[in-house]
Amino acid sequence: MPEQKNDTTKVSETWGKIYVLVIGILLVVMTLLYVFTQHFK
Amino acid sequence: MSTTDWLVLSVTLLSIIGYGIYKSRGTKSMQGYLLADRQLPWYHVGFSVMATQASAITFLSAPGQGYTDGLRFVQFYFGLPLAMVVLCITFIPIFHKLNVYTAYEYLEKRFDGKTRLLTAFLFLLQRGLSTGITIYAPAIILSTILEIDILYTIIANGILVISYTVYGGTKAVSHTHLLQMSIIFASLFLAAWLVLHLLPANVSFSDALHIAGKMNKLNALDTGFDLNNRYNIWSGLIGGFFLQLSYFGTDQSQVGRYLTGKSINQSRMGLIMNGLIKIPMQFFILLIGVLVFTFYQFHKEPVFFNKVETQKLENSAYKNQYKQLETDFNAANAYKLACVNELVAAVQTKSEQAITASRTKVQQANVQSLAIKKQVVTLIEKNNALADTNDSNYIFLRFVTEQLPVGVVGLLIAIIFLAAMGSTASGLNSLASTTVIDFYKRIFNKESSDAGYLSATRWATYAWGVFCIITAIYASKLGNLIEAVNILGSLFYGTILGIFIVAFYFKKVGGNAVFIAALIAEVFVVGAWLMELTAFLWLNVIGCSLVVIFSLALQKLQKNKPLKH
Repeated sequence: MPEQKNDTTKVSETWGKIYVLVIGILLVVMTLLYVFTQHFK
Repeated sequence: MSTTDWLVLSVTLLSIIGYGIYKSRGTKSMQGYLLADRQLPWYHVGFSVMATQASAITFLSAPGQGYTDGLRFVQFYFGLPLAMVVLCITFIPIFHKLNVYTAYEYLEKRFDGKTRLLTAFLFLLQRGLSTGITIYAPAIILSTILEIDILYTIIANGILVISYTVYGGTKAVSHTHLLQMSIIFASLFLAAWLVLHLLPANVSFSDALHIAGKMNKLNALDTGFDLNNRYNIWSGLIGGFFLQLSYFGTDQSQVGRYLTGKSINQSRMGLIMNGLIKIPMQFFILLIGVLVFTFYQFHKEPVFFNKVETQKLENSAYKNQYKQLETDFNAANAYKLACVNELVAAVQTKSEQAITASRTKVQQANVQSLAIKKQVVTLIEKNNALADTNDSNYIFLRFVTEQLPVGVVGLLIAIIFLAAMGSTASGLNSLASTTVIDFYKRIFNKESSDAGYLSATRWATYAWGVFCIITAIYASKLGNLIEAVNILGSLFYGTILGIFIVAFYFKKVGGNAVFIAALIAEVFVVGAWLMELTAFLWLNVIGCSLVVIFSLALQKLQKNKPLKH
């Protein structure tokens, strides 16, 4: 049982990192679009 | 269209349908028919979710929107990745754990029967009409381009979709989605490559972007806050987040797609894939429109892209006025071309002073061209009060049919059909599953066998297919029905999302409170719309927030016991 609990915790930690990564990518994409807009203005 | 194009179109469509039917053979259970036995891998889920959202209009009007309005529409999707994260954290685990077929089944487990039926009814009403429009909208444009009666394009599209959706259910829908999206992506890359090659030899990709940018077409990010501005970073992040959350979290046409995932993690990965690909994909489609705009800066641009309407003008009493306007437009275009060439030279020499001077000239020339275009639209309206004057839907197809090589035209027309079929198939599948699971099985026939329910679902799919074809045919008689259905969707999505948000996050609120709150919130949303208080996107935020606030207030007044989850 404790092993199963550890696995579940690891899985949620991994998904937590994936969610942070997704939000990070969104921020990067928005920044790139801003730079793109300004560059060709 | 040439024989080769017709051949490419027919072979592409028939291959995809054949593939869907082949992959879904042997489906004999409800679980298999409605949820593909919950055995699909993440990339199937991801492509299926994307194909459901991307209707034919996405590929018809998005390049047109890029042409007329630039890249600003891409901001509409900024809330999507955030909505995907919330869905992965909350919605997917609960739907999987409870083993539901439809999202509304969960509402009975959480609240009561009436809340489930109210939400399912609102979904059927909205989705039934909008699936009809999904068939109608591209049919009217394709009938214009292919020069055949709209009735045939509606019936052809409807029958093709019904054939594999009735036969193979969700499995057929998901397998065809994967192939459809692959062909769509490949065709779009090919189209972009061809547009670039059609530009003059002395204009590079970078020059083309500079020219478009100088004409405010590369406006991908607007940081200003304005409630009445439909597309800026704030409406995209906040309004878009609520809209996407309600669409993906509570619309059965999407819930039914990610419930097919092999596991919670496979469903999650499918949605994350959708969240990451959608913004670049939309950016790319809009950019194709911008490149088409650049192309027409160097080539003769039609004064109006919908040929059918200009042909009607040529045979009307307004013939001479139209001819004069066309001559003026061509003269304005010739002047504009000279100015654009000046701009190209300025961009290549990187002289800021020359760029500013030539840009002003080009912008003035564009204002002159637009003024003539407006006069043509006025003539078209005078000649035919029911004329389709929204010309942006015709820009890309006119460009494709007149400028691209034989074979590619057939392929690009095929992707319009494929996109229409993809979203229509998901619509029919979700309408049938909600009808059978939330109404037939729940109220009329609680004790039937699995085979009995499967047969009922096939009949329901068939019946909804016929309903949608009739809606599409009827829609062709009423020019403003598309707008009416879009409004209908915006009016209900926020309220439905509010019900689900209360269900997930406010455990103390019971069925009566949320039911009454939903009804009151709906009255407020309709009131806000009637009084034109704000842009559409914000109605989703208002509806959702009001359901939550009223539910909490009513629960406090009622002092009900919390309901079990």
